[in-house]
Amino acid sequence: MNSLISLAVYAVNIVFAPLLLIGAIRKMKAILQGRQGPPLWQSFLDITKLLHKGETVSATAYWSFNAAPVINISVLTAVALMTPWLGIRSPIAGDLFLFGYLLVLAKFATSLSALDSGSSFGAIGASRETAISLFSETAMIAALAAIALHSHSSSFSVMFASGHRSLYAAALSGLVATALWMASMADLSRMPFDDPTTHLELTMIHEAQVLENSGRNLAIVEFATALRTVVLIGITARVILLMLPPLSHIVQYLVTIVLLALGAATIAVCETTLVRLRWRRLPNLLSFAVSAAMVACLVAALRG
Amino acid sequence: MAISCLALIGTLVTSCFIRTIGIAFQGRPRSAAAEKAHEVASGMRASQIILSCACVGLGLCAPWMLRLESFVIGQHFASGPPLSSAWTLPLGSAIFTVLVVAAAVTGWLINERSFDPARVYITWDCGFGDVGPRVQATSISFAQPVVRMFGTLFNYAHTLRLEGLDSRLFPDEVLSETTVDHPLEHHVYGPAVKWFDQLSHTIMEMQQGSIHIYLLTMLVTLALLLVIGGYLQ
Repeated sequence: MNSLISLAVYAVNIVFAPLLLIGAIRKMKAILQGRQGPPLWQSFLDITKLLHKGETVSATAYWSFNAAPVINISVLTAVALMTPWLGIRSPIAGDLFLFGYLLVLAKFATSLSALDSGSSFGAIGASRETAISLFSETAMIAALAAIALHSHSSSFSVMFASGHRSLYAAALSGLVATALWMASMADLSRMPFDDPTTHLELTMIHEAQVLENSGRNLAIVEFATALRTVVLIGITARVILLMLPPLSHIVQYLVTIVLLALGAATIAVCETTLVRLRWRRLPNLLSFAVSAAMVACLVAALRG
Repeated sequence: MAISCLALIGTLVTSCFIRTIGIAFQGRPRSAAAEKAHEVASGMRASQIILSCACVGLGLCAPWMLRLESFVIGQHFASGPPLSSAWTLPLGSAIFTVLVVAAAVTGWLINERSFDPARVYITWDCGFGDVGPRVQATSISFAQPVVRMFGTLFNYAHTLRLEGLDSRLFPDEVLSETTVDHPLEHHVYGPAVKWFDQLSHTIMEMQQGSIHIYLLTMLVTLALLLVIGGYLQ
């Protein structure tokens, strides 16, 4: 596919898909709970409202507090442009290790900004998020490493080059997708790892870190979180696509969109039917993700 | 397995740096001495900035640095693939994207803030008002979730004591205490430091004590060097 067309498709989707996905999750949750719910485009209205609202910054905060949202959005845009989360080849070259480093860099900036305001809630959030990252990042990188082992390259363009219709490919993709999904839900602070809609500061993880943000800063943070969500669900969808035989670009794109909608539906069902796990139980659940990723690596290594 | 270890080490390093930078430099001063801290002279700052830029530059420009080294190494070791081929990360386009988006968003924010500046207020404290710097996290409390996760390694123990008539719901006094044992520090680093300390004391005594012992040491060392030299030849 032409690079310019790919860039255009990715640029349009980076602007619209993240907020539409968040809107879809909210709508499906509302329907499952017997409510009418907000419209699909409610997230766009929320972001527009935040952009026009006044901004309040803590007197304790230094320049790093204001730098964090900028680092977040710029790093995640680079990640979104290098990762084939739309099912088609990404416009810029991506690599498994660069993907991991950039995701960690965004988290690093967010955690530092949480500590910058001197808030005890921000520190609790940063501390918990860092602890969860030990498992979620490990599971995510190990899961993608299984595909890298299978394709003998850490470059995304080689890793996700084409599908293979075999029992082995299906088993490998299944294991990787399971590990990636669990790690992504932990990374995104979604149920059952965290409740993104909680209003109780002491139980928050990700939300506690961004508690001090308001107005324009909060709008950027919300958009960056939505972008991270759509990229991580998209990459899981791309792994599932590896089970299918090679498809045309348009079909791959359409199947990925369907899988993204299915991902949103799964999140909505989980957030309606599951309760948030106790903090101490999270490592037990995350160890399943790490184990699935390790087994996938083992399978890929044994197969050669 | 190696990649999983690399990812785990990477995230552990990140959490370590978040803790170090976050507790040392972020938030409000945690002691009276820290409150009186002031910026150092521009010369000292400049040297730190140059070193930081060199670190970032070497990291981000690694492919070009490797190419430069390949040129030097290639003159002595002609065989084998070039050193620059070891670098596979496609950094150029990623750095370009990050810089372009960061510049655009920063420019827009500066422009917006010039019309509507941010209001400066106290940190959110759940309605209790400004409760001071004591509520901030310490390095121990920041690391607590990670230490708890790896509690078996650290012999983590937590004691909670609630005192009072209705101690469960409305305790008069709450005592929460955690104890951690660092096995590496106690069984490896600690004994190693102690051993080197004793050795250095012995050497100091030999050098500063009796002249006879000092001369004997010199003779033994010389003899030992001659034996090693003879053996190597």
